[in-house]
Amino acid sequence: MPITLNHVSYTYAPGTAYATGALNDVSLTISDGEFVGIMGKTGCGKSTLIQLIAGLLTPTSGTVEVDGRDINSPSYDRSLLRRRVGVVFQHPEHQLFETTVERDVAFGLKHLGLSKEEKQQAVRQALEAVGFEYETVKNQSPLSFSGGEKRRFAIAGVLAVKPGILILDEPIAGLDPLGRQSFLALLDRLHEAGTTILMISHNADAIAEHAQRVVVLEQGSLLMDGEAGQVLSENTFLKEHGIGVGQAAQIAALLEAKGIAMEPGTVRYDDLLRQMIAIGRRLQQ
Amino acid sequence: MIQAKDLTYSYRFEGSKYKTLDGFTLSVRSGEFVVILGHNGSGKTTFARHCNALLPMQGGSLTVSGMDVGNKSCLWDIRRTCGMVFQNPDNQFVSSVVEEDLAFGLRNFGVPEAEIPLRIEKALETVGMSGFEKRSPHLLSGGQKQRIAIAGVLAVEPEILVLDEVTAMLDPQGRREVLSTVQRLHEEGKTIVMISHYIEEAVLADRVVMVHDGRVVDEGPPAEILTDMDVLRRVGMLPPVTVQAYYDLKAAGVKLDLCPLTMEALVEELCRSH
Repeated sequence: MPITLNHVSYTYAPGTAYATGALNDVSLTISDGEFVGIMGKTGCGKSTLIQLIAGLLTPTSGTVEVDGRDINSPSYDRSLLRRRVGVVFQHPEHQLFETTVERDVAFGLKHLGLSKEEKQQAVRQALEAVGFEYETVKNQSPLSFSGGEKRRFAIAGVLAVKPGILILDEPIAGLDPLGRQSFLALLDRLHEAGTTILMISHNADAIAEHAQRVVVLEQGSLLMDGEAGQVLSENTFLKEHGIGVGQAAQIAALLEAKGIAMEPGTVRYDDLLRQMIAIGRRLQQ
Repeated sequence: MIQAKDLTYSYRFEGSKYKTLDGFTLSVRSGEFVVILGHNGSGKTTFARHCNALLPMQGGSLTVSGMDVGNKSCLWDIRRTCGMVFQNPDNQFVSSVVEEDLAFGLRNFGVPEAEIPLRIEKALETVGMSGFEKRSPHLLSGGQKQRIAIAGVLAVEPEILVLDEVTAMLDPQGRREVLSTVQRLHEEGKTIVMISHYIEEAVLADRVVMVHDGRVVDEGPPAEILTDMDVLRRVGMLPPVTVQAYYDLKAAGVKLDLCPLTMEALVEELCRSH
């Protein structure tokens, strides 16, 4: 099991007047190769959760295991974790700092003991994965590109280390529609190649189309955890809890309200379209 | 209200020039709600920043409420007339108390002290945030922060509001809060120019403007622009899901009478497609 959280709680500024519980007794197991969408309102503990998994925060109580080992145990070698888990934070383009694209993307490889050729190969592959031609961009300043391009460079820097687990915090906020589409297609390709993906997003459509499993947090606790179609078709419940409902799920609910039976778990556009075509043909006869 | 003619603008970076506006022409009428759509780097934000003189004019002409943006002596009048709200609410607060934050803009514009509390009260009421006067903006939710940022601009009583992707960082609830505030302001007669990446938000507008490579390539009512696949493809936008469904259904032999812009309209059309 690559990631296991056992009764994890986290409190910011414990023992002070500002103590704030961000996560409250969360237990969660994520298997190899899963694509998990994480949803919840602002302040529900999503970002705290991923920082705990990435070992950037230490739980106030409970344990976080990656590949069966407690990452907060004193005997645990943290460099294993850094290689295994890649984290793309919100607005990763703000973290670019090197003078050339090549140097920036290669930064994470510094202490992995790779040869020059191996490093170059890793940088080339990472840049190609995010849709750039290595030779064209390698000597340019990463800061001279547009916001969407910078974000792809920043992600290439994470991919260069070839993490088996990729965690992304709102990776598509602020990207234009085609930028969102090509970025999500990249995640699908990584997922197909075996990468375990955890993606935080407010965008219910993106999660419906790409994630297999959805975890919903509310005020630091698990509110829902299940197969994507099952969780994301609970329109009324999700709305009551201030969670976004995807467009396909909303259209399916509107059709049901018209007395048309829809397949349970209709949250993806292709499933919706197939059923709408059948409805249209039936009515036209 | 806003008249832009042949605006050009280039950013300079490490000796290279990057042209972001290239013959940008647009006029916005008083009381109109215009949504500007375009991909990252199309020039939307550069145009928005010209509207309240945040960038120096390089070429072309721009007037805001009759004032020439190139004329430095109009600077403060332009900024009072045209208020601007940005994408990230966290970058826009100057005080740790809501009412102090709102008072900042007013004091800058020399509004008499006696009038300030009234202006603040009214602005907070307009965005539905009455009672938050003593709260800290940093401890509010994203949607609340963005509404406080809008209130800060409203307190100055501008005629025009320019909103640059104000919903991009918000969760769905925050987005709904901000959009309904924007709609209410429009109904009250404010001129609104809203930049967005969310094509669904453009459905609310009187007019949609498509920007590509630094210029306006198409404009018209949402029902016209957002249903035109050729226009959308040309500017690198994806259609609203209802429009996509209309064309996909058509390709499968299910013909709807009109191309729907809302989910309700799609379902209505589908249920009487015979």
